[in-house]
Amino acid sequence: MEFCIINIVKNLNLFTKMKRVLLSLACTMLAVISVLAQSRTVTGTVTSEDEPQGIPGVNVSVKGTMAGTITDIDGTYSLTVPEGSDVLVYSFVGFNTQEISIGNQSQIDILLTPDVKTLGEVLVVGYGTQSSRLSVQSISSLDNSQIEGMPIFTAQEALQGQAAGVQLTGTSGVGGAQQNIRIRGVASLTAGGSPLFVVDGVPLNDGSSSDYSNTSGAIALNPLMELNPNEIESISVLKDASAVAIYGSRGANGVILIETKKGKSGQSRINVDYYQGVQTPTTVRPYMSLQQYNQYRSLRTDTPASDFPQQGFDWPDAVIQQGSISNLNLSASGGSESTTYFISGTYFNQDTYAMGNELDRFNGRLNMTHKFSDKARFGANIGLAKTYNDRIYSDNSTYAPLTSAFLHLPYTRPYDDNGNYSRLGFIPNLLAIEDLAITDYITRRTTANTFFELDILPDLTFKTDWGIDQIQTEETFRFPDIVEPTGSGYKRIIQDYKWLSTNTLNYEKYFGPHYVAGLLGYSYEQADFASMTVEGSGFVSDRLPNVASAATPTITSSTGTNWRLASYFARVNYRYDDKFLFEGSARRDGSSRFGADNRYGNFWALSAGWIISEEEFLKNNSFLDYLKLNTSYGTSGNDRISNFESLGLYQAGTLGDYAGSPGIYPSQPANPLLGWEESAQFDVTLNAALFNSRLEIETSFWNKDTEGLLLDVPIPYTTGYASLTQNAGTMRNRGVDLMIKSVNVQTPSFEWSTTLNVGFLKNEVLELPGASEDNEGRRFVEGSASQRAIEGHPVNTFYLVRYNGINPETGEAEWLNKDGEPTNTYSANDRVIVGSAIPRVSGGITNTFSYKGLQLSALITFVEGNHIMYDDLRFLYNPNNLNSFNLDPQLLNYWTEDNRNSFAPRLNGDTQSNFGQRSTLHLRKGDHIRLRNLSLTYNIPSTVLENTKIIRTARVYGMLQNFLTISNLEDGLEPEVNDGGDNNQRQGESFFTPAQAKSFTLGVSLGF
Amino acid sequence: MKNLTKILFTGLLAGSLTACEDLQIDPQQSLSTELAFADRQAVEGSLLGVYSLSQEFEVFGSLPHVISDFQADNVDFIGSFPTLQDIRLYATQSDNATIRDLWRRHYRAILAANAVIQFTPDSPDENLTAEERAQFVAEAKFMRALLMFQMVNLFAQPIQQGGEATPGIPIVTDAFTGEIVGYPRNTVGEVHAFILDDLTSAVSDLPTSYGTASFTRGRATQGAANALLSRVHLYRGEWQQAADRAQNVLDEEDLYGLAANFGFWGENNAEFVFAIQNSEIDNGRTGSGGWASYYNPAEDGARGDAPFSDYLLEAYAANDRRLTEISKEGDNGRIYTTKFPDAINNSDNSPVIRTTEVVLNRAEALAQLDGINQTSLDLINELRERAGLAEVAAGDFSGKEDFVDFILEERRKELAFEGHRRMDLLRYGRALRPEGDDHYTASQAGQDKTILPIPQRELDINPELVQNDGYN
Repeated sequence: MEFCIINIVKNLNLFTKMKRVLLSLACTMLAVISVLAQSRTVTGTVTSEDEPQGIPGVNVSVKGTMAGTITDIDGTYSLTVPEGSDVLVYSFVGFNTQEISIGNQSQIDILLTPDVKTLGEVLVVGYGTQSSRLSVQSISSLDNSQIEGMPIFTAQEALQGQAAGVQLTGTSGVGGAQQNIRIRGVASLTAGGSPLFVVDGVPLNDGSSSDYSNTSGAIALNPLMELNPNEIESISVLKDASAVAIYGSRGANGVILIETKKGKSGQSRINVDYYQGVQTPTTVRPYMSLQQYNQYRSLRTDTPASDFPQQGFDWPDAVIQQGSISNLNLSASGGSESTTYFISGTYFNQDTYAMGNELDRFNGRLNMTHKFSDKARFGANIGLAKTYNDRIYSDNSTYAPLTSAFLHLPYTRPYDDNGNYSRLGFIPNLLAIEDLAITDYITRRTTANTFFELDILPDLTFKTDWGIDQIQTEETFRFPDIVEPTGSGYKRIIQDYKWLSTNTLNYEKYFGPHYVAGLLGYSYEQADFASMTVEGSGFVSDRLPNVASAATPTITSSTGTNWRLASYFARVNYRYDDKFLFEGSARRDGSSRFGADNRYGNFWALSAGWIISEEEFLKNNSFLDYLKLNTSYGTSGNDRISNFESLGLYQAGTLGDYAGSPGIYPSQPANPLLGWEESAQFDVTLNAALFNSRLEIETSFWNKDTEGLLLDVPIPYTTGYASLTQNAGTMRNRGVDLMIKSVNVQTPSFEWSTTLNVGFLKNEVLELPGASEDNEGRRFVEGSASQRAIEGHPVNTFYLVRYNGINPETGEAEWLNKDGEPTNTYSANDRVIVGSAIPRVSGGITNTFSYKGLQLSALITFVEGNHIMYDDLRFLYNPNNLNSFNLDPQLLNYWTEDNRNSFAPRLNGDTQSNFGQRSTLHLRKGDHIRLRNLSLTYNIPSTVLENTKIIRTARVYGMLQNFLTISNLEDGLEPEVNDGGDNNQRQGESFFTPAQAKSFTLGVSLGF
Repeated sequence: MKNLTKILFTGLLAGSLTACEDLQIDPQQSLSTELAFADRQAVEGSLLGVYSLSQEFEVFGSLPHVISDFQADNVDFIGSFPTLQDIRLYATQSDNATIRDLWRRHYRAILAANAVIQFTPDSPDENLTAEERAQFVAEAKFMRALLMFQMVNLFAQPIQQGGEATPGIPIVTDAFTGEIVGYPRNTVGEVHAFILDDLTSAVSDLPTSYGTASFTRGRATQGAANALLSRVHLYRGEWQQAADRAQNVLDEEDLYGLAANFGFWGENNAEFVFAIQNSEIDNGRTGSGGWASYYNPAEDGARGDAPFSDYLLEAYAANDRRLTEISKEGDNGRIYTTKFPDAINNSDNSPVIRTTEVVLNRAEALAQLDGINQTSLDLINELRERAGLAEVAAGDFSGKEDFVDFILEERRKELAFEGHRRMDLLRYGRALRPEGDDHYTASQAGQDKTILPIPQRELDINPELVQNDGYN
């Protein structure tokens, strides 16, 4: 009989198996001792649901004696029981201990039940799994119960408030907008700041996601857009150096590993899940009604309001609607001894609250595994998706409905007297765009991998894994004549085809109390990107949708680019007595993106852990179940720069041509020394479980220093260029992650549990050599007109003139000069540091109440310590924009002798024209608490379902998302906004950025 | 089964280890710098790139010209863009992003020209003749002079206010090779001298025309260089040279002449001495901010930001064809010019130097030299005739000053919307806005905000630069 093989597919973890081997050894010694006594013999087999063929290594002992044995490889045992003893104890790590009275039985077969609490969850780590109990990596993980049923479009949204140390900001309420994820702070200025996403071992294409689409506000599209949350089994957020070093040049921003659901041997199970709901914006900004506008205009121009148009149109009301959301998922899973499968199909539809914005997504997935033999297995995970996105523009675009609706003068009307659309010019007719324009974005994506695994030796496994991530996007714009005279059309098709091969050797073995494991791997990754773009104008009819019908082709372009990454990596684990834990990992990456002199980078990490609760002095206490201290130090890098950043280039094409002849122009200065950004991270983590694991605490103290920060060092424009990319800066992030899980009340019918995740973060830019100096002598890099990265301060430091209010005596606006003295003169030279866009504290708390089949769960998220610049207020508060734009109603609250505590300066005052200048008047504190998710679930009791004969499980649920927000922000100002998308240097700013949606959904989930 | 797995295993292992590991990849849309001057075609391409960079919105894509006309009294800026509003309101700040970009784009084109001037003589291609090399260098010098003159007018006080020693702009003559130099500002006098030197040395190497109309009007020629020399001398009050250089242009009657009517807009003809050529596919350069975009009403697909000012409307006689034939009323009731009709693709050429300007240069210079004189009268009457107005005679003017003022007023009406007005007022020490305007005081010649600030960004990283007064 062969030794039971490791079966990853069944999700049994390696740890359990190895633990058994260790215990077998220990117990054999005990058995030798016990056999010396006089006695009778009991035999039997120990099995579990997952291992009906028998569990080897189970400890069988006679209660109250030294006698005992362990089960054989097939789970059988034979034990001699001394006289006077009658109780056998069956114990095995990961299973509940059972005690059985022997009576006069001579054969006792036992079915062990898994003990989820002591087993420790299986952690998905880079290129493998580990027991969370014995792991020395710092990882936050979510399982599908924390995702299920949430009315979310993409998986990251589930991370909000559910993973300590992960700051997640919704960038916009536009459908499909990406979430901004920062794991343990931002570790870069100019290179990408997002973590690496890995789905079933395939790193997703994401670094160039901004290449996929060149229009629609500043909001980048989401790299996880094509992955359906229903299909996810677990999400692991790799945080410390020991966890991310194995991802080398892509680990510095953290790594998010996503495993999709797999089938299990046994009866086939079919699940149907459906939810449907409605959505509205969390908040809508105020705007002047026509009457208010006319009143204001009249005051400003000394003209009676009756001279102005008396008919208008309520634009915001027209573009904000009640949205809807629905999702239908069908899945089946099951399998035989040798083959398992999971198959799933989903249709998701969202009509956002913004007029003209709709998302449709179809997902299909097939995951399967098959055992050739006891030694060889293969499997495949295939995900297919098509997303149809009827987009809208947002943020700084006049075509954006949620921008221009607030800018349109309230007397501007969408229809002429005959009921036809009016041509409105610079701020276009939003209704005509919605009705007549095509603004589609379609993505088709296949993310798949196949693997083959072979046990070369019982303890040595070879795995080869071949993955692809293939994206095709199709972006279409077609604007009608009424919006763009003669009409215009645009089509851009992109293919980004990536493949990779990952080959690993995995070894692990116990030698007595010594445990040794090793991983050796090689991977090669290559991505080829191609785009085709056409644009034209001059259409005879709006009914001709394609650029082929345009009279004048203005863009005919096709481009291509690619990158390659070749990597060697290794990990070694050593444990003594499963008490002292050591791990080392290393990776060597070679990337085509870096200059010939700096092509290869080496990254590594070392970590050690000590399970203190295994020590004798702690073993016999009544409250502490588990206590582990571990620490790690290591490095990782960031390769998210454009493909040819080190080369000096002359660009060809339509931007270089002249008068019909081809031309070229200098587009990039050379920098052959360009190298990797490297983050070195130190981490100390303490894990504890108390009171029968009713209270679990995990806390990490960490420090991440990033060196060789890729910096677009600004150089004088008199060089012909704006900046030179250099490995110049250093930055530090440090913080504390804290997770507390507590079962507060536990009775047979009622349970109340609380989970708190919170991260404390301090970001500081340490050095910016070569950068500009401000007049205080601090070096800085400008991220936007409002914020800078400044030495000694956070990377997103707001640098603004302080607004001091309206002087009650003079009625003029006042600012503070550099010295803090009030002045009526606005000057950009009076800018000072006024805050940071990076929250100090962010996290979430979940309270779950279960009563019989009923479950109420509330997730509250919170953010503290950040500021938000509402750039749009510069427009809405600006008196100069009279007759250009609609305005904020607060402008009617202007200074008069009788209204000295006013919002706006006195009419026709000297400071009126500067009132709109960028200042802290437009800056707000971003602190807020949000009821992210409130759900009520009812599981219909199985006693009721048994009568149906076919329904195995049934669940109905209702959910409220973003229903309540507590903050100091005025109505209309949404705290979760970010018009800079993934731009590390521009965070916490809004330019009419659409607010998040709040939604109410009802769902039902049935299992057959 | 065992054999099968062995074969599979061996195959995959071998396959994975032999996976190609060539990490050297060349870009597909760009050339490395070494290749940019490798042969004749690449050298000419690099030169045409200089013209192409000059198409930019911030260079000759209308921004400097729109600013000059609305900072003065020709154009009313009714758009919302705060950085432009600030200029209109004489409230410009040193961190004005539009001005920053204007500075940036000009120097980008200047440095591209420097590369042509520096690397063309050493191009290894033997098929590139000495004459061609000289011509390409001369073209690049013309462009550099043109770009620098536009900048010095915007960022420095005119010599009439500040004198020759007033701070101008940095003179940069080298291509960028990696060494970052903090250039100080040269004086306006030095900048002018440099420009005049570049232009005079270029004239003889330039052709008089090219094989196609778009190159004859759109690339540097002897005519274009002489016309620009005429303008520089005029702005400097060097009347005789201004008049002579203008005459050099007008002597080339085959190439340059006044159009008979105002139908000349939108094509390459004798009216244009030098016009940056734009086409539909150059939309990316001029973008939503091209000439047509500002100067056409919103309903044509433009921004509708820059109609006639009331001051300018008052300046025209009711029957002046320069008003009646090249303007129209927008839906908002404002009057817009029709000199740049393509608001859809922004393909209108940039009228950098027109024959009309050369005529006016000569008329003005001669009036300065000789007072009321027949040559000037004839030149002006030619223009008035085209505008459908009565001729003027010597007796209509009280004296030289009155005559010069009249020529300047004709200049204003001919060249409105082409960016000349601001300098034409400043070099005579006049306010940019008429008396009674809200900003009359701030717009007096020599006032701080009649010129633009050196971008704060440049001051921050180049301590050699000094800011203009009033922007600190």
